[in-house]
Order: sequence, then C-alpha cells, then structure tokens
Amino acid sequence: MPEIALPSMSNYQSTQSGGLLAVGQSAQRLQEICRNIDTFWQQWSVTPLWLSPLRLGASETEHPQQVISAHTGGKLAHAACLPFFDELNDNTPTIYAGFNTAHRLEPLRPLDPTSRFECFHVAEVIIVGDKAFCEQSYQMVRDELGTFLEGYVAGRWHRSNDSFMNEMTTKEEWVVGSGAYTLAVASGNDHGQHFLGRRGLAGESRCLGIGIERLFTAIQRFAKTQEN
Amino acid sequence: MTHKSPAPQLITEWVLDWLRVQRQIDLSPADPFLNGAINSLMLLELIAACEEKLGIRIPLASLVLDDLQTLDHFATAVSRVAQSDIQRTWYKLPFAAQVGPQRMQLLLGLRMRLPQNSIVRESDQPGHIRVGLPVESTLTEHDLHRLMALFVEVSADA
Repeated sequence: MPEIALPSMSNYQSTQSGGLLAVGQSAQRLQEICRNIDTFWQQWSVTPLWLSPLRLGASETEHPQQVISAHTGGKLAHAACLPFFDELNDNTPTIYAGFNTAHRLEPLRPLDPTSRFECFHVAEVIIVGDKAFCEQSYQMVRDELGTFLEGYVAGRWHRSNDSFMNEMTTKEEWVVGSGAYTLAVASGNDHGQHFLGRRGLAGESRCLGIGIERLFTAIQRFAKTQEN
Repeated sequence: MTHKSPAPQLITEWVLDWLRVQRQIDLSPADPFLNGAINSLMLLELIAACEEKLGIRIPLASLVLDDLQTLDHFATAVSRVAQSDIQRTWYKLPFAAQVGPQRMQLLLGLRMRLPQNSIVRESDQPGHIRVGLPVESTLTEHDLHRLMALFVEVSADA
C-alpha cells in the first residue's frame, strides 16, 4: 500500500475552519505584522486596550452577522470595538488601540474561503471625544494608516456602502486589487453620537480596524501577482 | 432532480431588467460586475431573486471570483451550475417600518438562520419580503415573524 504524503507543518496554513491556522514561516510573518502595528500606533501616545471578544449580553438586540454562542456572560462580538463601547464611561478626548477577534456569519465565504473569514483578528483604533477631536484624530490616523499599509501592499481608501448602521455617516475601506478581486484590508467608521449617546455621554466616536488575516492574504496575493 | 439550465442570454436579460427596475442601475454585460455595478450584499439579493424568478438553485460553492468579473461571466457560470429548484412553501411578510433602511441586513440575518435551502428576498411589492421554505420545514409563519423581530434594532459594525 503506497504511503500518503502528508503536508509538512514547517510552513502550514489553512482556512478550512473559517479562521486562519498558520504554522512556521506563515505564523512568523503574522506575528511580525502584529508587532509592527503595535510599534506603529505608539506614535500617537495611544491608551492601550485589551479587548474582550465577548460583549455584554444584556441587550436583546441581535446583529444580522452575529454568531450565536452558548456563552453565559456575554455574546460573541461581530466587531472589535463593541465590547469597549458597551462599558465606556468616559468621554475624555482619547485615542485607544488594541487587538481583538471578531466573529461573523459570512454567507459569501464559499466564493472566497481564503479571504472571507468567520473569525479573524483585528488591530483596532478607537477615537473618543468631542466632534473636532474625533475629526482631526480620525483624519490623522486614517492617512498614516494608509501609508503604513502601503508599506506592505498597494491599496487605496474607498467609500463603502454596506454600513449596518443608520447613524453612521461614513464607512470607508482600505482596499487592494480591483473588480471581483477587490479585498478590503482595513475599515474606518464614523459612529457619530451613536455609542456615546447610548451611554449617556456627550461627544462622538470613530474607529479604524486592520483585518490581520486580510492583510496577510493581500500580501500573499500581491506577491503572486508580482511574480506573474 | 432534473437539471434545468437557463441559457446565459436569458439570465443576462433577467439580471439587466432586475438591476434597472429594482436598483435603478444600467450596465453593459461587459462592465465590471462585483465591486463595480453591485456590492456583495446586492449580489446575495440578486442571486435570491434570480433563484425564485427562474425556478433554479445557484450553489454559491460552485462559483469562483472569476465568475463575477462581468455579467457575461456571471450568466455563463450560472447557466453551467444551476439546478432545478426544490418544492417550497412561500410566505409574503410585511417589513416593520423601522427596519426599512436596513432591509438588506435583515434579509442577510434571516437567510443565515433559516434552513440551508431557504430563499429570502425582497418582494417586488414594496414593504414586504418573500420567504421560500423547503416543504419539509416545520417553521411556521409565526416563527418567521419572531425571527424578523430579532433584527429590528441593529448595531454598528467596525
């Protein structure tokens, strides 16, 4: 009986589970990306965040892309910033930054299983404060984030029209590729007064998030394009 | 199940008409399609409407990104992979007024929580959605109303 050759685990990656499993060189590359992001956003004297992947479970509201879980204390967050806003009690103008995982139902995953994940890591910047502070800080972070990402792969900011929120006046994405192969690597959202208002606070908020696995995928696809 | 494939030309004509009437979008079959004329949410809507109107099923896992470059690509691919639809029970359900602006998200949420072979789409009659459940499903109209109520208030993504 012939022996079946199993794939080596020295540089293994798989998205079969709906998330990315990486071992060896691929994992090393992902870890480098995270370290670089962590260094990059220190320039803004950010307040560090350790974000919970679970948000408070008291709300009866559901989100269409929320993954229903059996956790007893909270619900899986479909967006990285939500657990923070659930407990925010301070509107002092501040830029926060940290990592989180997001869980989402992804109906179009079969079309592109190597970029449409049901669970992924996010490097998240959250801006809280008065309108002027939020506008100014968002513009600065947005521009510098674009420059940072350009160091990995050519892309551009692009206005998005698939926001899940009425009050959100702006949603934009930093995308690579074109046409059917367009891949959103990062997004920026203007929440207006939505989240602070819920907590009885004056002021506004915005956030920007880099999808770590999406950035990794974009780098790999771009490298393949260059080789071709 | 017999395999009934509409011709690409029929699919192209149907999609052009749907985009023009339902979305006020005019395009040429050779124009950029996904991330051009339509976004990913609209693609889901288009596929659901196409499935009901043409009496077919379009297995998403049978499509690749190349099939979404232009409408010509899409029509050719759908003609290749389409299967005859199963028997269904259809429901026409009213939208709650407050979810009007978020209709696409409501449809997405419902679609993900109903049996795998369900069709959920906006009705051609404003203010309603259409849900086609496999005849074997035990869900009732009351169950559908309860599911819809879950998505009345949605929150922000990031």
